[in-house]
Amino acid sequence: MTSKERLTELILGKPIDRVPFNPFSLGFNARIYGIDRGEFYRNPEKAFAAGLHLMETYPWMDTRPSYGWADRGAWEFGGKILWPDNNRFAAPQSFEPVITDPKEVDSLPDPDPQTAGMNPLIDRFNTISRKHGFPASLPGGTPTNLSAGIVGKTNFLKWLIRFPETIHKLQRKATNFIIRSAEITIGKFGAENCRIQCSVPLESNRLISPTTFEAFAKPYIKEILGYYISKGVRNIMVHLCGDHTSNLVHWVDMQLPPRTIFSIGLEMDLEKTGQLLGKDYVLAGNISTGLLQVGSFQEVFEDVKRCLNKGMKHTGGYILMPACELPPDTPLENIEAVAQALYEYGYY
Amino acid sequence: MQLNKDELFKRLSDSVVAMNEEKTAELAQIIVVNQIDAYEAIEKGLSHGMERAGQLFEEGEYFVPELLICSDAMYAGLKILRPHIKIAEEGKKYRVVIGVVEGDTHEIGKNLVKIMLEASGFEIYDLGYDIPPHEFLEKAKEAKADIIAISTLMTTTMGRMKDVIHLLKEENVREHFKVIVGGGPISQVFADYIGADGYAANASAAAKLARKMVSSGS
Repeated sequence: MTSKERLTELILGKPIDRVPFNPFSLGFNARIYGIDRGEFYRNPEKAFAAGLHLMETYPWMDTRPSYGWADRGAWEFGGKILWPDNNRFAAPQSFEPVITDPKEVDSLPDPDPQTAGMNPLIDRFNTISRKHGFPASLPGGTPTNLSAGIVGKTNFLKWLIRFPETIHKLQRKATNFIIRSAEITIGKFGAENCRIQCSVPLESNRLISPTTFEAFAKPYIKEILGYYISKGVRNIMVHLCGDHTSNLVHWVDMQLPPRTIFSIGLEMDLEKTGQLLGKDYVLAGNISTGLLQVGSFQEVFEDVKRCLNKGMKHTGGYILMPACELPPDTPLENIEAVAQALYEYGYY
Repeated sequence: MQLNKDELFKRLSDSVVAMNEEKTAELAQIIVVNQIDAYEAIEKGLSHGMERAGQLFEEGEYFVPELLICSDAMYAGLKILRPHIKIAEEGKKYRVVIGVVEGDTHEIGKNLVKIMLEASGFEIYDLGYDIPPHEFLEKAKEAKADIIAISTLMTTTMGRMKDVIHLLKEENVREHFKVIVGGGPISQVFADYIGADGYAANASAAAKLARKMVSSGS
């Protein structure tokens, strides 16, 4: 099977030859393409070229060019962005809060989705993607990501208790911005040509309780994904970064379309997650990024074997993936370890 | 009416657990006005409250938002009581240099560990975030630290922890410091792999581990 055939058949729920491998790769693409991460993220065209280079270098991977980052909100709402120039950081980051006083939320201007923050860059990336027959990407973060970027993560967490109404106002603003941004992308490229990778880091149960997730995050995530689905978007991946085990009941309750992919971090168990999600959803994950980065060939090989043993039991289908973004400094021999284990144990 | 100091300490502890900054400050003020021992109040009131909050966190009752606000209450009390500590009372202070590795700007986990360590009586040298390996070493030497605590939230920067330990070995000072590591993607397996002396899954566990390390000398 070609990669496209494999992924298409998986999403259709049909038998495939082997487990696909999604490298979840961004900074790694920059490294093997020979550009620093500042250049990668500042230039969507170079990011796309780096993604194609990855596909050519590792044709066994089931991947496509990718672009985007999780730490958003500050730049979009009028603050600063910290670029990973000279590879100092893994990805662009919200540098400092835009506001620090809850009273300032009401007067926080709503940004123009055409020009704010990452939006123009992702539009450039999407334009090239579509020319090459790849899907366009919809805004990937949850409103929590943006809200925490606007006020700072520590303030966001404290205000959940101190100023809950302010958090709701922020989430409302962030949700509206995400939906208005998506309207533009869907309008330009068509819903059937759009995909969404919804990264969910701050809602981890290592940070907030499932009750807090239900009250402050779930309604807004549900609204955004509901909007995408109502427009006809079907290509959905949710990346649960951290331990979201206690939130899974809420994700199931959201009733996302069948064949939505749930990718999980190392903190979650593949088998248990698959059981809780059920056979309607595709499972993905969760090779240890720590081992990928500093482990030996054999350790990576064994960890991939662990993932395949567990993931292939999931009747909804399974994609092998790192637990989070492939570390840019991953030794190339460890990529070979992934391939070897996949070829030895990943065939159905 | 004679104030019962143990009762006051209990109320101080309760107000920290209850996340009540105002009440904690009020009680701290009463302690000062009545010339009750400030150090004892910090130990049996504020630190005790923070330890209870840490326990609730380990049990899954409290999460990071609650812990952060408990710490605000604790610091509100510390601000009032600290100037009244008699120097001789303090005894030996173990020192910790703490920071987030180079390339990572996420501080919440590190700040929580710092809070719990301070509540446990450690003297903290907080380097902040995005700290190159040599700065951990330099500060640890300068402060004559007992422990170097390294944090990262991101998988992409985990390798920097290994760099710090490698540098300690290169400088022949590895045996001078205990190294503990923690953060979202970190595990005991990873800590063992890079040669750290300890790993803690959360801030409360980090404080317990640090206390164990300095009391046993291991």
